[in-house]
Amino acid sequence: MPTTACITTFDLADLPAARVLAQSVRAAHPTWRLHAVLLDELPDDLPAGIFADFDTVVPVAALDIPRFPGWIFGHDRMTARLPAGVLLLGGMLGREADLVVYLDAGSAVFHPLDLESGPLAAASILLAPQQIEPNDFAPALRDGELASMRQGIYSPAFLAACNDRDGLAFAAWLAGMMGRHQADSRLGAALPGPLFCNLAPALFDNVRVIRDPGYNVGGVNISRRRIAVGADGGIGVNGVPLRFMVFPSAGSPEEAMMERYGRGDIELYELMNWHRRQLARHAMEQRA
Amino acid sequence: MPAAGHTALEIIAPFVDAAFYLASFAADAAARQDPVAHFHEIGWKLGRAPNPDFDTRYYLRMNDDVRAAGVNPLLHYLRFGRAEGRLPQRPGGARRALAEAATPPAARRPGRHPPPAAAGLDTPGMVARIAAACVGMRGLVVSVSHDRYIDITGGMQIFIADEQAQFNADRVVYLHIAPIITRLTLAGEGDEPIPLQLTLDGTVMGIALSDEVVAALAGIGDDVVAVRYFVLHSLFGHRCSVLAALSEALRPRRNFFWLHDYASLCAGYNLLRNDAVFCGAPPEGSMACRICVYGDGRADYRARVNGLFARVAFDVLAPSEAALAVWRQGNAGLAWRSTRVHPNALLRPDITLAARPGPIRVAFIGYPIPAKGWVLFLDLFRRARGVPGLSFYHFANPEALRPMAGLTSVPVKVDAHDRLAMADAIAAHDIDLVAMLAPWPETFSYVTREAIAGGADIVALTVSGGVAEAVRQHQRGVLFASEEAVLRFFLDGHVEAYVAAQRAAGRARQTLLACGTTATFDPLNPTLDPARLITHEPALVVIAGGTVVHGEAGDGELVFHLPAGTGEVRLLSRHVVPARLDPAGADYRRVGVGVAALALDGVKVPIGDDRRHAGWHGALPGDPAQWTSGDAALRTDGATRLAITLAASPAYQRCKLIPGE
Repeated sequence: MPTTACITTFDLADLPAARVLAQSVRAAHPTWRLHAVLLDELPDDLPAGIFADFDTVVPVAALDIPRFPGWIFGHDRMTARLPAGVLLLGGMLGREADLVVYLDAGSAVFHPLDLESGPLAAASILLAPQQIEPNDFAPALRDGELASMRQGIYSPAFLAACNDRDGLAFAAWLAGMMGRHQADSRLGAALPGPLFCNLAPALFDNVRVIRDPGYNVGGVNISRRRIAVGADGGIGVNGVPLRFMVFPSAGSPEEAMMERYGRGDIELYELMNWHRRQLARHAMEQRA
Repeated sequence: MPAAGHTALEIIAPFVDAAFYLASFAADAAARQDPVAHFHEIGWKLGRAPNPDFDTRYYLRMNDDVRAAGVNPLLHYLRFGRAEGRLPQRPGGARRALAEAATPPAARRPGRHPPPAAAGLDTPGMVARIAAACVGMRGLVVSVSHDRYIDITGGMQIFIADEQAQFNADRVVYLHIAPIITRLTLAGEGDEPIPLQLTLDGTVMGIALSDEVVAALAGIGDDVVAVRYFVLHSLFGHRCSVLAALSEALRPRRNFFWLHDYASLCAGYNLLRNDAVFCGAPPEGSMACRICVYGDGRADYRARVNGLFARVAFDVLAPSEAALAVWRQGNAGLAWRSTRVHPNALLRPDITLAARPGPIRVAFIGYPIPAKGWVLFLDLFRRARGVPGLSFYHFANPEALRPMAGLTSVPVKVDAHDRLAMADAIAAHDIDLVAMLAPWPETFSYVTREAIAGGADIVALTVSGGVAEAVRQHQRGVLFASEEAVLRFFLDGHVEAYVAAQRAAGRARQTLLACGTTATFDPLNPTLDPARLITHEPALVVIAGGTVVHGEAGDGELVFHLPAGTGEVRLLSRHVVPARLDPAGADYRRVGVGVAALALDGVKVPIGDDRRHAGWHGALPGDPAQWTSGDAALRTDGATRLAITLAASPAYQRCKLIPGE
């Protein structure tokens, strides 16, 4: 039976968010294995069971990244997330799973992602664009499409690859770019990690770009997405199920975009409040 | 972006709502003379809003550059901010604030409300007190709710008080049980008994632990009182296993469960997800429940409620069709014996009076809480308070009033002796429209009936359940599908035509009849018709010591053979409070039977004789009968034959749940 692994990366400050993600993945996909990269060194006095939401947690130093000190120096806690995830993804694909899904620690899954069956199952590589519908309001265009042109067309919070020729080639290439080349000054100035994914449809076959508003809902695209809760208790976006949402960190530009383009939708604020409550709960447990 | 060359005042003028702005500066002559210039020079520096959709303080707080530049924030917004995507006010409005403030039930601090100076009760003491109260009575009702209804004024408490009064009037004992530790959710399960407070026939009886109350109810045998009923009005503060044990110990003929709210479906008893949006009680595993403050623990909550319904076969009573429909849709897993719609109060057409001219008078009634639509009313008031031809009122208990400029506060106290105080106040102020803007399906809404009784029409949302049902049933009001449509009705002037037509038809008042809730439930007739409950049979018995003596009819009188040595007896009968049957009346006395003649061992005991020493109303001039209160004491001094001649009996309301006339 094909196996699926979900990976994420976090530092200790983001452990509450990562736990929210892990629990949401477990609820939607009980059979998935959950793996994480810890971007900090493991402290000696870590409370027992603090990583219980994950099947494995490995420290980033264990990823065998070439010229690791330079690599880690070149990142901050946010920009290291995707590259570290990609490096783990590359290592796991084929060895431990037939499908590996990376999700950013700031996201949460609501309805199942439907990656293993249906139309998305046929793809080797899955990417979720930041925008799937053009904006026509100048500020939203500036914060949306124009920002994506600079920082990456595809979401840095999600990617998936299958254990096949194209998936393996993509994973190896992306790991190489994010592991070696990002730390290699001979290749010029370091580029934002997500930008590399722009090349994927050009370089690889069987790439599926998920143009479904239920995936990758976040500040960068909320201007074109409207959340609604149905009578059956399901949460939808533009009439389709909400698959996963990327929650902005406090004070981030994405949070301002949620505010600016959310149109006062109460359901959007309910989701954000829910995420904040979960973070607070886990943070309290962590302190206890 | 405004055209170049316009002055600052020209740019902002269309966005300064003079009526709205001046509501903050009613006494400021300069503001009144030129509101636009006043806002541009003074108002924004004071943080005042120029219109309902621009929040000056928010704009300055969110935009450091504007604050640092010291420019009029409205002008900045119109010139630059709007095109840059800056926000004129915090999005989401009041509902967002509600959602943010929503707190999981488990995180709320429970209250503690024991009756003042109440005695602790043990099992034998409770059995003795209840048994003594049951002597000569036709039945026992044990009812349960979340608080001590005799000391709190609220819809459910009024219904329970009326229920008690009406059962008592039909010689039925009414024992009420409430938790001492109050909470807006269930009490946790566990082995430790929980403290309860008991009220017997409207008087505090004392406090006791739940296991002792269960034991006491088990100790009430058929020889004490054969007809027993269990009525559950509210689950909150109670432990489901204790409620089941209370019912099982009582061994009632029926168990009634009232849908005064939806607490049997969710601890969010009005089904407002995150206190902000009506949810319809989706499955507890749904995404909607996951993101709701009531979602955590809802599966366990429902399992406990379902466990109660599995142990106790409830006859479910809903005060409206709407409430029953919502409950049926969301009650998966619950087992019940029957369902029935049974209103808590009835309206009957009364006089129609001419409406006064003048501005359209719009009111909010009751506690200013979001679940009652206060948020939307406040939004409407803020936007429309300066509109010529509209005036706004708030009718409520004095402590619930929120005085503010442009809103006329009217203190009204509704209590057991003046149930119609609110309807009368609405009529006295000649209110045209009452805003009942509950964002969820209210199960009944007493306030809606009060408003209609007072001659007002209702403005409500279609989602409002029992409110909307009453509007349709009585054809007294207008319903809207959305909050925006409500605002448009008032702000676009449609309200003027509506009220003109309403006033032309006259102010149609109605009488409001309390139904006694369970006390008027008729198992054989699904439609509530108070006329069918009327009886003139007083069901008179005499209590001699602990013995019930029934009369023998003969020669126009009832003869009671008293045990030898009886020093005093009680004349126990049905009673009626005339004002409850005739809201126009003001006679709040308990009226039992009219005694035309009374004799002991053949010797007449005349009116005014001091042997008629308690529970007798004063004789009226020209009235040959003296009326009892329904429980009158008579000193018999060892007589063995009591003969009573009754005058015509009044109209009593009989409880169809109790067998016999």
